[in-house]
Amino acid sequence: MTEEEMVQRYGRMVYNLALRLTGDRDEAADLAQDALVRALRGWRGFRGEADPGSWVYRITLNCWKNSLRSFKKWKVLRFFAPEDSEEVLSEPRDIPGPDPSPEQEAQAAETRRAIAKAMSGLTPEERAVLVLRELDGRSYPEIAASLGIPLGTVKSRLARARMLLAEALSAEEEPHAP
Amino acid sequence: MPHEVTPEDLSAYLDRELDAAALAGVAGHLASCPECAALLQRLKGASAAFKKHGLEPAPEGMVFRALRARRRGGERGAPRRLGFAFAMAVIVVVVLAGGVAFKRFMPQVFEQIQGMIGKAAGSLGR
Ligand SMILES: [Zn+2]
Repeated sequence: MTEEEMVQRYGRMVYNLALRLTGDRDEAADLAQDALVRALRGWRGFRGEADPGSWVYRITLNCWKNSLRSFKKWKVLRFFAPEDSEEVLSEPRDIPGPDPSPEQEAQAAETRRAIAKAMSGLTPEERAVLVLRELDGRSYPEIAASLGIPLGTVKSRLARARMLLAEALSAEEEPHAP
Repeated sequence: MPHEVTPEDLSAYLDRELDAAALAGVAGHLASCPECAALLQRLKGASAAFKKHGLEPAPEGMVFRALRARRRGGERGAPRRLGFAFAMAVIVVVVLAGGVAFKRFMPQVFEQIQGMIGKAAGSLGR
């Protein structure tokens, strides 16, 4: 795998991981960019100790942790800035597939609302496990390696994320039930 | 009713991440417990919904920008830090050079200022 193939393969996933860690699109874009550049710079030294995915995700997680540390300094300034992360979580901007019917569109919007609601009840770490499992099909050992956590923690975070999602989805469906 | 499987077991069952013994245990329980079977279906639905609607497109040009930044050999933030260090160095040099020039070409004024600073320092010390 060349470094170009590496960023092509993992770029979007790195962004999605960053998005669920930060809960904010702008912050996620910065974080993903930072992580990708770091991964590119380290690529030559990467000897395949882990699989490239686990390695790249680990870099992303470390960048996020670093940004949290430096972010604390800016908390005072952020206090005066408008709070927008909640809104961002609830309004994904991508448009689903080709020409969905109005019903499909409404259904999809409902599902996205439910997802956003569930996300706001989860910790960044729980959302990270969910992303790696559901969006990139990572195995539990791979997720454990990427995030530096025990297997049991992968299992429990994922279960909690899915339980909350299931709850949010059924709550979203209820008003339409016969 | 006591369930011998937890939501964690069901979630791992869904992912085929249980060892043979645990798998047999969960499968056996599911066969006789409609409640857990229903919960498994709900977890499956949650998983499918996130797979379908949870993925977002990356910002346009993100990969390209990362590759370009790599080729420049830079990292965002680093040039700014270097720039700041450079600016500070320039200021220090200018102040030192200014002081030296001042002492050399306007020795009386320099002594006056020196005296003022000394007095101010002395009054602070008291
Ligand atoms: Zn049961």
